Amino acid sequence: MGATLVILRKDLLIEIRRKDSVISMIFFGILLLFVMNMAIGIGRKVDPELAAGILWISILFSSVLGLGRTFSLEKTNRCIDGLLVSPVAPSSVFVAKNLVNLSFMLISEAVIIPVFFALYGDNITVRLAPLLATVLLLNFGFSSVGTLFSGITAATSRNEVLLPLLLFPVITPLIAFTVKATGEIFAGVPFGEYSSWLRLMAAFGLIFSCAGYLLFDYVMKEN
Amino acid sequence: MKNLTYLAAAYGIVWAGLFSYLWYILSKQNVLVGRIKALEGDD
Amino acid sequence: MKDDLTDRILVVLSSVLMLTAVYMIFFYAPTERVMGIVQKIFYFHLPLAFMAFLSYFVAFVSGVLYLVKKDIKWDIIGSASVEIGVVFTTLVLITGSLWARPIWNTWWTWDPRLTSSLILWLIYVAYIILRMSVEQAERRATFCAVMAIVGFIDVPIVFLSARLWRTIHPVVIKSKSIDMEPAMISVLAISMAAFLLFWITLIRIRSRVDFMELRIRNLEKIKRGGME
Repeated sequence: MGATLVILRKDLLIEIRRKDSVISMIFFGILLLFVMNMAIGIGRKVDPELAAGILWISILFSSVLGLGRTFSLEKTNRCIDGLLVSPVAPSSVFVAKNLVNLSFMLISEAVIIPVFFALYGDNITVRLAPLLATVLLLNFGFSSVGTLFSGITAATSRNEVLLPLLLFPVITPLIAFTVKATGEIFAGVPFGEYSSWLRLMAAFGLIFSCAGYLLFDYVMKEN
Repeated sequence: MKNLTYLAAAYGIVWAGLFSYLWYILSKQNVLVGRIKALEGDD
Repeated sequence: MKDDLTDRILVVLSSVLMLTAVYMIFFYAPTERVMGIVQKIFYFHLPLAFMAFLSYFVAFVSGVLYLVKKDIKWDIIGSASVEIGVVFTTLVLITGSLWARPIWNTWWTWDPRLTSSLILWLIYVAYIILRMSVEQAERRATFCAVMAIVGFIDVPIVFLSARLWRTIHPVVIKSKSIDMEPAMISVLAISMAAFLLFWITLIRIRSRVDFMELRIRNLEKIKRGGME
């Protein structure tokens, strides 16, 4: 537990000093919001479900940028060797990196989502509490799978290309649940009607965080 | 009649796919058999 | 070459079974009333899908065995079955599409089963791309084992999500349930057996190719060692 916090603190400190990951994530997310506005026709009103799709595409694609950086940070100057030699269990590295990814995602979402509402918010009901729950559950599932895969791709020669290729097919169910839930939140449907989607998202996150926790050992040893 | 075309296309593609894959791995195998023989023959 | 002989027997046997299946499909099995002759794609479509699923299951099991035992054998078997699974899934998607066109008047619908097969195809194509991007053998084996395990864990979730997505979002076109007559079932069984034999043949040859490559690498290493 202590080691987890140390790694988490170290990564967050580096990010606070350099700010490059989060800034590129935010910029890319907003860029995607603009690009999609052009793709559907500038200024066109979108219905809630389409809006949900647009929001999540921007967030997911921008989050992949951050994921790719989690381990390349350790790769420069071969910090990863130190991490491997140290008595820190690989599974606590997994938890730490997972939390790092979660916090990067949260920070970037804190900017991207308000921008999204400014651009597409006309037909959309804003309900903060359920939206926050959806965001947290998505981040949980996404970064659990993503941390495991970024551990894998960091050891390959084509890190940035490979990560989205591995990640997106596996998280398609999560994306489906999330877009469905968000669409209904945006449409102003009562909570009882979409709570089942949230439960499924939580189940996805739990399953893959356990899988990642168990499998990360093997991945780390090959780095 | 038009349906028969779809049926024929499906069967054709399945066989073409399966047998070209079989052919592909068999030819790969033959090349490797040759290489192993060459390597072992040198000793 | 004992393996060679077994291969030949397997290929001949599965071809004979396959021809029998084809004969029975056209001259024994009744033509389905609603869908007509196109329904006969089914006798290939279903065994292909089943074998694809079997491949992914084998890949999952050999992934677990590799991580536990660290024996490269399991990596080779796993990768062989993923590759064959992708070939079979591709054929499933194509035959499904050719079936959908005359029956549903479209090449593609987001029916749960179609969607799930497509997602599975994507997951395992990603596996093959991952395999191509890692050079070192043990590292590649570990990463591929992890991917095979994660991919297979995802399979039931993918099926569930595709199903739920649709029940809440109904489409006009519904996949017809097929009432199977006894004659149809026996034809399907023979077809299934033919594909199973063919699948076993493919797995055997495909994994042997990898074993041979391993052997070549070892032989070359010994030779290089001897020269230095």
